[in-house]
Amino acid sequence: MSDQLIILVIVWPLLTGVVTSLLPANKRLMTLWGSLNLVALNGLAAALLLRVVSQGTLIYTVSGWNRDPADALSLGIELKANIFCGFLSCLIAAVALVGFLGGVCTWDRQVGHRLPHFLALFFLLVAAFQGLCLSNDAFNLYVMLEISSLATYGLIAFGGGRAYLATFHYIVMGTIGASFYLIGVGYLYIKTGTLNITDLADSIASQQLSKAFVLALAFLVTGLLLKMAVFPLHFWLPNAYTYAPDATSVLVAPLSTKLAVFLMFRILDDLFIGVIPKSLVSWSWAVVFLASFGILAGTSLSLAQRDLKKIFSCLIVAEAGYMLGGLWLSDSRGTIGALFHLVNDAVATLALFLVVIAVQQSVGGRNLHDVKGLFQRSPLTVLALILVSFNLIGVPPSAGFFSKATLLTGAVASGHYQFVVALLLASLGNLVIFFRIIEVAYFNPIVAEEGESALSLDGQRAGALAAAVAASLYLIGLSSYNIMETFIKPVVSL
Amino acid sequence: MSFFESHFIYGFFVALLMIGLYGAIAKVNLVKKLIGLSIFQTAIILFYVSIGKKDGADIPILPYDHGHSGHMLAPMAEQYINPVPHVLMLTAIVVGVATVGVALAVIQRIYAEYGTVEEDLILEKIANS
Repeated sequence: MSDQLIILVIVWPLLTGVVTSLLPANKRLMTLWGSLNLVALNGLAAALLLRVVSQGTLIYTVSGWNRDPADALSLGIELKANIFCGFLSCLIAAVALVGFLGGVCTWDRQVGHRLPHFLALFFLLVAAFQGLCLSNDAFNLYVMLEISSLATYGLIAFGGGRAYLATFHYIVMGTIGASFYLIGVGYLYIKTGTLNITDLADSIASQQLSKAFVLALAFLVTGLLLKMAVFPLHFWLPNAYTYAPDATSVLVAPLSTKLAVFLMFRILDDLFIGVIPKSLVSWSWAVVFLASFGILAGTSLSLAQRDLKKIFSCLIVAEAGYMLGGLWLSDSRGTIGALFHLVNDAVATLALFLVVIAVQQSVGGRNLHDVKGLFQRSPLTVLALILVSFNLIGVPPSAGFFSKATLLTGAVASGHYQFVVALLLASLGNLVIFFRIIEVAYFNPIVAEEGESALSLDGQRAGALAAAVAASLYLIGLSSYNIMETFIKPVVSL
Repeated sequence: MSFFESHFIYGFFVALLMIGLYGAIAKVNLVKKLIGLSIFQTAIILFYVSIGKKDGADIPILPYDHGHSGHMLAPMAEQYINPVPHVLMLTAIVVGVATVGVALAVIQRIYAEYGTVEEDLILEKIANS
């Protein structure tokens, strides 16, 4: 049983999704069923992490297609859990559980009687995220990437109205991105004859870095840049995430682009170990420049918005630049910082989109002028907003401070000063973005009308959840040294 | 075999890919965009299928009741075309069909919402509302 832990982490949410689509659209039943299954998933992911911690990296061959005894090459699909994969798997499970609970109060308003179908896609998406995190097969990663995208298309289209056009744009861009990745995998397959990432890495290391490899890398990276929504390729993201139902964005926004970043890390660090920084220095300059530009562009886009959800969606574009830049600094501190930022940003984005739900439930709108009087109605929401804003600005004990500090050290050490400037300017931008919101929420009180209840229970609950998630950022920050040493450093080979 | 003969399939793949990409990005009509996207995906499928080909090789179906185990058959691998890319493409075709299905459903909803599938007209309607 315990040997099957890796596959169970993927199959459990998948089967949950199948069963969910058959259940009646009863809100209480669904809440209970969904949270029970997600708690179980959290247990499985935690057990997997414990096992990885005690036994080292785990390899699982699907359907028992073990390696060929003659040449030790892989025959079937492999799943691999190293210590960071185990950690990420726990993070995905935890974000899914919290996001699920946070989204419950928006079901009546935004999902209605199609709830079983909505949740079936929700669990399918969780399964695909777990698969992306644990798969060790280049083609299987493509399939998981597409499953996660297809589930996301459906979940976003539940938003109705403007969401349909946004979904269509996302379908076009997402499919082009995944197809580019597939072309890259094809080139690698021609050159090496294998799809297993470990075998691919060995084969690449033993061959001359020919043009075909460079082209393969270019396709893989471009495809993932589209999926990560880095600045010039970002335009599908803000609308898609803004018009999606709140219960969707609370799961998709924290994880979707982050897993594309993780895939980029796999390609740079697992596939082309050490080959890129040596031979493609000009590339790393170009990509870091792109990332720096993306950070500034994302922050400026965010400054120009008045819809809270769109402000936060544009911030995701900026955050993708942080991680992309960190991975391409060709400095181990950059990579460590990028992976730590991935963890930090997933939690911070979750808190931000929970805040959106809390605002919507407490004051009935999410425009900048709607948050007026938010402090009276839901002080915890404002607290959450303040805590997350400190994290994004980079105030010391928060996780954001430590990830930015690590990224900055890496950038200075490798001489990418434009990245340093972009990071610092973005912090300043975040300061303006958040204080604009907090100012309206705190200093513009409203006079409650007769008969209007000042406090909405759902808003209070969502606010409390958001505050708890935001507070956990400081816990992550305080244990940042341990997280980096235990979970991140052992997997960074650069 | 001349260079043209051995490489023409790659040229064809790239041409098809570019036609599809142009359609997906430049066309204003959403259905035409989707058709472009389909061509784009089909080009990749074609590319993968062409990888498996070997000169003078047979289809990879082993005769029944051969009396050999898998390992003893391994030296005969050059007699059969490589089935792995073909099998991969079965999955990619399924993914492609699912994508087109979802996209068509979304286009249907867009048509119900705005009464047109021309992107510029839709954007105009959104801007006016």
